Formats: sequence, C-alpha cells, structure tokens
Amino acid sequence: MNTPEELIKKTAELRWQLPQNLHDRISESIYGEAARIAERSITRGGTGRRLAWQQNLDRLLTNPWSAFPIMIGVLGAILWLTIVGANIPSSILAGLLVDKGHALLSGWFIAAGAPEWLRGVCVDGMYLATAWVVAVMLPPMAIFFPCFTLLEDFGFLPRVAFNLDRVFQKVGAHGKQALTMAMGLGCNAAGVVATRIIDSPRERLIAIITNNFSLCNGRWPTQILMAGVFIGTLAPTGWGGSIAALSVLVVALLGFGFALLTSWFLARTVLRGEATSFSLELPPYRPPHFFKTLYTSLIDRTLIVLWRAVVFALPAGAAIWLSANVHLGDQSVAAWFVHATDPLAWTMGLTGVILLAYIVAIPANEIVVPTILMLTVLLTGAQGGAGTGVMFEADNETVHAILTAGGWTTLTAVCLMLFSLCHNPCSTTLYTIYRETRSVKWTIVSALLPLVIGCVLCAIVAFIWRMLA
Amino acid sequence: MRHIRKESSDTQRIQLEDALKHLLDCDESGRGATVESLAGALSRSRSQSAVLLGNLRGRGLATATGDTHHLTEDGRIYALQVVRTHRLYETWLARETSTPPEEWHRQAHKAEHHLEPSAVDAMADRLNNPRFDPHGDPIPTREGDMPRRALTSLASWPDRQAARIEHIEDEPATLYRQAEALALSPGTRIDESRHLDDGSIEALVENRRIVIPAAVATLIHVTTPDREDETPPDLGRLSDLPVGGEAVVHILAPSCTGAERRRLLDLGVVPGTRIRCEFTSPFGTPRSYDIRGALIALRDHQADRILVHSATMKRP
Repeated sequence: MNTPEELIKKTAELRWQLPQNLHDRISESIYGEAARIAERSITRGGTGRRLAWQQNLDRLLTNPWSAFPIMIGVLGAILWLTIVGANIPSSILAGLLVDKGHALLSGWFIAAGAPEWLRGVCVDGMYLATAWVVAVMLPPMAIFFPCFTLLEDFGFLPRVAFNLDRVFQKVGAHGKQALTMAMGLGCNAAGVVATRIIDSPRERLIAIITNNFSLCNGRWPTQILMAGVFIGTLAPTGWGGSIAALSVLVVALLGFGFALLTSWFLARTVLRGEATSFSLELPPYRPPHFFKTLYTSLIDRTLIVLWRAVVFALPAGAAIWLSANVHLGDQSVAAWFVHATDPLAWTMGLTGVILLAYIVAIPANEIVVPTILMLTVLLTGAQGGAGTGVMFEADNETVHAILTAGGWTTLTAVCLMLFSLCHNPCSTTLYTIYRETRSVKWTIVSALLPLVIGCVLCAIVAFIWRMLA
Repeated sequence: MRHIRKESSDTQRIQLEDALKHLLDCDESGRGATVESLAGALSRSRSQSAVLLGNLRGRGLATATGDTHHLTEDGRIYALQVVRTHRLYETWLARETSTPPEEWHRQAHKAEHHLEPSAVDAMADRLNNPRFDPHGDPIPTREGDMPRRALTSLASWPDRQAARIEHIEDEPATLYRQAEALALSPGTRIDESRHLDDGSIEALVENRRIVIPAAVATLIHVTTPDREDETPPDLGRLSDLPVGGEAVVHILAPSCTGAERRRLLDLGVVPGTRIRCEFTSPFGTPRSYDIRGALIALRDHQADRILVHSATMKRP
C-alpha cells in the first residue's frame, strides 16, 4: 500500500475531503494567533478608550443636525477669508507688477532700441499676462491652500468623507470619492491621481470623470473675482464680501451636485454596477502643526501651482498679444474669432472673448481671467491706463469698468461662473486622465461631458434670465 | 487541444468548447447529451447543434450511441481543461479583484476560451491551487482529476435539519443574484429551515430570518455541517450592535470574500477581537467602530458580514 504512487493518489483523494473553507480558516487562525501574541506582549498607556473631547467632537461633526451646517460653514468661512483677505495684497501686487513693473520694462525696451513688435510680444504680451497671473492668483492661493491643509492635518476631511459616504453609495460611486473630490478642490490633476485609492475600476473611472466638478485652484480666482466684482457690488455696502463668498459657495456646492448627478448617470448607463465595500480610517484629531503646515502648503502647493501657471502664462501672453495685433484684412485674428463666436456665446450668456479665453486657457485655467481682461482691453480699447492692450490698475472698480465696456452684465458674470465650473478640464488634467485610464475614449468623455453640461446649463440660465429681465 | 485551437476560427472554437462543456455536464450527471439538449444549452438551432456534434465526433472528441453523445477520453481531457480555466478564473476574480459576483461568470466565460494552459497553471500556482471556485464547484486539477459529488438541493432538504451550503449554481444569473442578495454563499450555515406553502423556504441564516424563494432554493446545494460550524446561541451581526455597544468577533461570514475579507483581516477583525460601535454617520450608514484602538468606518453591508457573539450590548 505504501508505494509513492499510492501515497500520492491517496493524498489527492483526501484533498477533496477537506472542508471547503479550509484556507479561510487557516488564514483566520494565523491572524488570530498574531493578534493574541501582540496582546500578550504589548502594554498600552492610558485606558485604551478614546479621549472624551475627541468623542464629543466626533458626535458633533457627525450628528445629522450639526454635521452638514458645520461642513458647509467651514467651506464658506474659508472662501470668505480668501475673498476678503486676498483683496488688499492683490491690489498691492498689481500696482507693483502691472503698474510699476510694466512701465519699467517698457522703458528698458525703448531705451535699448528694440523694435515695437518685440516690445509688444515680450512686455505687453508675455510679461503682462504673467504679472496678471501672479497678482490675481498668488494671494487667494496663499490663503486658501494653507487653510485647507490645516483642516486636512486636523483630521476634518475624513469625517467629511464619512458623512457623505451614504450619498456616494446611493449614486453608485465609491465613498472615497469624497476624498478625491476634496483633493480636486486643490488641483484636478492631483484629484485624478488620488483616485488610485479606489480599488474598483468602475468606481475609479466615475471618480476620475467627475473630479472636474471640484473647483480647482485655477478656477477659484475666476469665481472669486467674478463674485467680488459683479455679485458683491449688488449687495448693500459692507455685505459685499459675505455675499460674494456665499455665491462662490453656491457654485462650489452646485459642482458637488453635478458630480453626484453625473456619477449617478454614469453608474446607471455606461458604468453599471454595484457600489463595492469600503473601509475608511478616521484618524484621531490632532492639533495641526501651524507653521510647518503653512510652510509646506506654501511650497508644495501654492508655489508649484503658481509656477505652472506662470509657465503657461508666458506663451499664452504672447499668443494673446499676437492674436490681438496680427491683422487679417481689416481686423485682428482675435477680433475675427470674437465676432464670429459672439452670437453663439450670446445664447450661453457669455461673450466671444470668454470663449476665446477658454481656448487660450486650455493649458491652464489660471489664466482665464487675465486673458479675458487683456483681450477685452485690446479689442475694445477700454482704457485702464495709457496705450492699447495695457492695463494698469487691478482693483475691482477698474475691472468692473473694463468688463462693462466689453458689454458685460451680471448675467455674463453668472454664466462665466457656471461655465468655469462646467467645462473641459485643463490639458494637464486631461493628460493625467489619459495616463491613469490608458484610454482615449474615457479621456474624451471626461473632456466633453462637463463641456456639454456647461453649455446647456449656461444657455438655460441665460434664456430664463432674459425672459425674467 | 492546442492543435484544435490553431486550426479553427475563434467563433468555431468557442462553439466547440461550449459544446464540450455541455457534454461533460451531461456525462457527470449521467444524463447523456442529445442534439436537442445541446441546442437548448447553447441556444442554437437543431441543425447547428447537429453540425457541432458531427464536428466533435469527426475530431474524435465525442462518440454517439444512438441519439446520446458521450465524451471520449480526449474529449473529457479537453472539456476538463476548459472547465478548469473557467473556475480558476472565477476564483481569481473573487480573490484578487473587486469584481462584483454577478460579473464573475460572464468574464470567466470569455476568458476560458483564450487563456493558454500554461497561463492557467501559473494562475493556479499563484492562487495556491484552490480546490473549489467561489460557487463551490470543484476545480479540475491539472492532472484532470475532479470528484463526482452527489448534490442535494436545499429544496429537497428535510425541514429543521441544520445545513451548510456546499454549492450555488451561478446560472440563471437573475436567480443567482437573488441568492447573492440574501448573502448566501458556499459555507453559509442554514438553521431552522422549513418549507412554506408556496415552496419557498424560511430559514435562520446568520441570526436573521430570511425567506428563500423556491426557484432560488433549487440552485442551492447543501450538506450536513461540520461540528465546528456550530453557531453560538447569541450570534449576531456587527451591524446590529447599538451605538456604544461592544461585541467579540465570532467569524467572518463566508459571503465576505476576496479583497474585502483580506482588508478586514488586515484591520484586525479576527475571531476574538473586541469591537465597539462608536457613532453613526448622519444617514445611519456607514458607522464607525473602535477596532484595536483605531476608528474604522464600515458600511452596514460590510458589518453585516462580520458575525459577533456575547455582545454585552451594554450602554457606556
């Protein structure tokens, strides 16, 4: 009976008689044994129970009555702080970079005997666009990002994901999408990369496609400027900042709503499937390292993002100046485009200048507002200072005056805010989406889906607005 | 096998392999395959089915005695390889990916016609040569060994006799989804079952009373449970624990598989772990649990699959 062949045959037979879940049982008992050994050898300080204040804070932040007002309130407070706080440094920077810097640089070029076109491309185009980007973007980012990082550090964001999980589950998406969307509030490309924390490919795709509905730092300045310049001025004196912050908050929440809606739509149509499980660790609250956070968020986020904006602003500035100064027949290239697209833009409550700005700004959303301002000045000859295409003052009244000269109304500002929320992601984000999904199809879907939503939404708003007006 | 793969077109090969699987099925259950049974199984016309069987005979994979067809030894080896690929692929999907259970069969059905035997063996090695697929079907070994089993359907199981699910048929898909929704899977223990008037079965499963529709019960095959499957009298689910309550993990439910199971084990949810429910989200789920000093949020759907006992259920 004991030849090797017989033994092998016998074991092969016996193998089938073991219980089906043998593997699970063995791995479970290994884990169990490891846990017992750990318990015997580790002594813990304290009672092992969570601290009372942490428990109370958790109850407060997850209570059905207080959770949502607190979450919205915190986001609103950060926006208010950013809008109100960024005003003064923005004016100072604009005065310094745009007013003084431009004159200085212009003077050097003239003194060096440089040809007029070279001065135009370099100073009126590239330098001015860059100066604008820095003046418009640096202050809000330097306030917004550290605030956000402090909350992240404190342990607030996982609670937000915890509170919102049910909503995401209902629309067929992953609970961690809340975290990737929060990341998207900083930068959509970073948000798309962050979706790696989602295991299921289906839910990950949903998170990638809808991440664009998180307003990214490149779009906050647009929102904040539009809100401050047009919506804030509608409010009674002293309330401008709060009303502006409120309107930006509404747009941000609208983005959240759109993300849910498109997730729901995708999960019901092309990306069908059940929500998979998820487990989320809620780390204990800890006091954030204030100065360390301030430093790292300034370096890691603000300056890197700003650098990217500057890199894209330089060629874009040249392109803007050229498009406004290279003439085809009796009109500049920009004028041709703007006049051709004006009727289409009008139905969406926008202007041809905005559409052109969005094409120029595909590499980086950050330069939308500067592009709009420069194009408006170049095309209408609106005077913010001396000379075509050169703007000096950067305060809200001047911006308001220039844009009104460009034919803007409150409707234009509202539609721009909506369009800024719902349009194709910037080229960096699109490239990141391609790299993460390895699919041209999904990259195109990610680009067109929000764009179509944005066009339809703006057209509806413009239509209703004009009906009521 | 390899040379059939080379000489026939993709569609033809897929049809042949599907036909072989049907013949294996019939041989295993002792029914004997006919032109009609094959036409029904593959949803083809009678004539197409007859051509397929002729093709199999021509290749020496099947023989006919009167109307009934059987596999030859070569045919059986080929068919077992296809089945092995299918079941191993399902096992891989269940263990290593987050693919939902209702997708397993469809994806495996595609893969079974394309994977090379060497790739299948490599997959088996990586999975530690599993014996059963996630539905409880035995996976043929690489030597072509697969035990025959007498399966008893839950529909014909005597009332009130404890049972353990050994196998769930994954077709038709709609019925399988119902079984899946009831959290029934191979290994699940069924207590206090009794037939209701309409043929459905009421039973106590993981401390919850459920009604299994008659059609679903016929898909479920059961056996007598082992002694260590005994459920403690105070067995409950983690999701039933009130806020502030404490319980000790008894076991992870058999329906908790793959990445989900591993993640829970990684978090330290093992037999004997004490878990406290700390608080719930505004919508009731997920809830957060204190597991070994870390605060972990779990959806009710997951907490359902963690079976706990001696829940002191005391308020803090």
